[in-house]
Amino acid sequence: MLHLIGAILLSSRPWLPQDMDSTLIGQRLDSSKSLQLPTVEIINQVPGQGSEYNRLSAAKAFEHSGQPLARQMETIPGVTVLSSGAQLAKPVVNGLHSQRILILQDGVRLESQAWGSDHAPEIDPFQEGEWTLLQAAASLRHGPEALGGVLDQQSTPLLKHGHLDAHWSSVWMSNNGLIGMHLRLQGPLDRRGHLQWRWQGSNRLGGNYSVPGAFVANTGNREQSTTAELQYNHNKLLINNYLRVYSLRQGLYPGAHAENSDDLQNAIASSLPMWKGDFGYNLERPMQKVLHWQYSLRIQRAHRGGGLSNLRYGYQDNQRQEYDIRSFLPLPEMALELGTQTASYTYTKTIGNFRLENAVGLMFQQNLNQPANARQFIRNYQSLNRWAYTLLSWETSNLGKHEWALRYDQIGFTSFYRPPGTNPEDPASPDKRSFQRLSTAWTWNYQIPRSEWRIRVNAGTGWRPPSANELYANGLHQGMAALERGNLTLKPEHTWTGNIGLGWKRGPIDLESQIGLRNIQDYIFLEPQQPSAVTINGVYPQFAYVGRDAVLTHWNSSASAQMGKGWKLNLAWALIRGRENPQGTWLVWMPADRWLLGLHRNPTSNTNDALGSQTKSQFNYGIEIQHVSRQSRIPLSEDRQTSLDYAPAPAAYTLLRIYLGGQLMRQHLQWIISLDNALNTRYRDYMNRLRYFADEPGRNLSLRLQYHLHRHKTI
Amino acid sequence: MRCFTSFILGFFGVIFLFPSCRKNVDNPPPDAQHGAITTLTLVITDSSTLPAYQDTIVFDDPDGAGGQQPIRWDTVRLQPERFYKAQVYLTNKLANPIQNLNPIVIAQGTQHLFVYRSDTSMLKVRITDQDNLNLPLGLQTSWETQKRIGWTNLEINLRHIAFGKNNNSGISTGHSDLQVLFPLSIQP
Repeated sequence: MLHLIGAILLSSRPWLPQDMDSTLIGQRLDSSKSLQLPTVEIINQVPGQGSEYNRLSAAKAFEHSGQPLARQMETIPGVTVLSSGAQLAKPVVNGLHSQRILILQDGVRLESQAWGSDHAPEIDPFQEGEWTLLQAAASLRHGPEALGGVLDQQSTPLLKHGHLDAHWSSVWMSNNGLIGMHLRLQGPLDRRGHLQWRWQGSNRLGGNYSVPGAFVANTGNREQSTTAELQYNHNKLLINNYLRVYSLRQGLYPGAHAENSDDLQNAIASSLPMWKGDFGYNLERPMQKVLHWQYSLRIQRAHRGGGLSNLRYGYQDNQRQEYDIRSFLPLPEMALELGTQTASYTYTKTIGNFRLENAVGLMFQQNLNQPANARQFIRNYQSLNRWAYTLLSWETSNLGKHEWALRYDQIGFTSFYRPPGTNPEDPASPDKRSFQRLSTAWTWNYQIPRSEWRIRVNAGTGWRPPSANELYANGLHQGMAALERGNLTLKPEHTWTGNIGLGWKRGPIDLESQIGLRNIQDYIFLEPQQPSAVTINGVYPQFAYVGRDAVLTHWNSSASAQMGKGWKLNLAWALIRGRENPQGTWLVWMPADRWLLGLHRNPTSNTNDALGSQTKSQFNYGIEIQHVSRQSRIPLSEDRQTSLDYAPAPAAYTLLRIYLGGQLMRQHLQWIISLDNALNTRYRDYMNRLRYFADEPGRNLSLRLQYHLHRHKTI
Repeated sequence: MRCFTSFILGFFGVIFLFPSCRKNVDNPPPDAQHGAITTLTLVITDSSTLPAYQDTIVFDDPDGAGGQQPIRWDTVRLQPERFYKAQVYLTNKLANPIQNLNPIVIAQGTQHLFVYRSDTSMLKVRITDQDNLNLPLGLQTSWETQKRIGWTNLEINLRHIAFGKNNNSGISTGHSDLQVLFPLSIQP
């Protein structure tokens, strides 16, 4: 699949310290390590190893660094993005997004206002480490609502020995004048290597992005992030402290806010943005500000009997402010603070070929409307989730590797609300709800003996209660310039999933394909409502949350061929279908069919060894052609004659990307120059909520640099 | 092992105190939209008659954008060949107590402009008040009805002009904070 393209680039492995790189990848490739007796040395093993997963390697991440995290994730098969403009993007896995995708940071699930399609994950796109997409049994560890999967970031191991290790990277983009920098410092604190530390800081400053023929007004952003990590690791005990602060100011395109139905239609019909801007970094209303704090504590202890205890605590505070374009007062119209505390205890024991993992935990969450808030789009609420799971994995030469997980969740949820005009002394009316259910999943990986075939199968169930916005949203969602209405009658989503993957590899040819079926009962989604709503402030598209049975299917495939002299050809595609069941209309916001053809040359990857070392002064270069079909499967009204959407699905488009990379200064400095949308194609993507009003970014020239100030000797 | 088990139990004992934190979650402020316009009131007077003619025209959407439809949406009724004076009042009924928005519009007058649009063969509107920079504001207007009678519409549009308001500012400048289309009847 697409990550094979990354493997080619990884072969140069220029941007990780060599021993760190090979050690980390070695852990992933050697499946037997996951069955080793638990000592502190396996603490950095990859969760879900052996189950189905896909990776975004550090090398691939560098190739796309500076872009939003979700856009970097597009290199993982089946992952697309749901976006609102060029910078606000969230990952979509096989058609599922938002609350159905969990994102882990340092093992703690990111908890923020993930409900809005204009609410990007609060993750530093520069942050070092590899991303892994966990699915099926491995994803059930982190919650039953991860119907689409879990995106897990694994940081590189901290250094126990050696000197200070410093790493600097930078990116510049021509399209929006983006300038980004990242610095990471790490090293041991004492000679014995018991104490280790790491610090990372990054900054991203972007201006208005340009489409062919114009700049899109007020679409710049300012993003800062820093993390600090302190770890004690000695004998059988490990204590890890992790602190992260993330801040974002993001401008929103004002032309999405129409004043009457004619303006709305004109804005939709216009080929160029109605609100053109000049190049600049100024941010005005409408905009959003986000501040996210995270602290996590991890204590691990290996026991004499071979067991491993893992205790985790996490605290997150997410503050979001959204500013309308129309406001008399210099205050945000939406100001929310979401506090989340998580705690879990996991005990793992390996006996022979069997590995048993048991865990209990809880998550407590409170959402507060701030005093500056103009409207309570999301009500105050608190929820307490108590959970437990058991995960059994075993591996035999005859039957391959199996993972089976069983999880139980109980969720208590209470919201509080005072309608407009009520007396603050009156008691707030609570709305209490309770949910509980079992989930299970099974994964099987099997390499057929004496054959080129490999099989991956998984099946499972999951569920997700309706979230606060799906229940209570009522009013203007400014970031989307749309009126959204919640639905108090929504029931929890229940899903049954099955995936079958086949792989075949002979010599230089490697094929991989996966098909999947997902049956979701009471699938909750935001459905366009006609006609648009007339308000005293203007005319807005309106959407309402509905829950209907749905079926999603996907087919992701890739093929690659090594052609000698370092040349490699890749072909990949992802096809997703989603429709209401039975025989209902197509679901809205499903990615269109995507195809990717790539031709790459890496002089050192002439063999099948993707980890081969690279000699000096050699270049990597390649060309990629991406084709996205027109989404012809769109929701229709009950008479099946008219589209429910406000604009027709955009036309198909084809993009060309070329890149050239290399190394300087004895491999300390790595560089990549890339040209995205090289033909300056004008296009719109169906999965972009701004597609009604503006094109996607035009040609973009990027320069990325990485420099290792020092190298450590050993991990 | 025993020590570690005790630690785990103590850890979860502390964690179970989570729900006692942040009690304000059950005490939200009323859902009052600061600065939101829910109601437009138009007071029209004609002092040339005895007694002086006065009419009050209202567009009222008390729950704001979304929710229920407006509960009152009046028709403007005028006589031909008359001079009227009109005063606009903006109100936010979602706030408690109800908020008069006129002082805010006046204070931010250099960023606001009322635009009145109608069939000029039936009604001509002239702005009579000014902001701090002596530019037209539009809370107060004078209306002159023409000889022609019949039905048409009167659009009242409050433009929010964050930068660069000048004498040429108009319907195509800035953004709309408010837009109401009143039916207009001119009959003898």
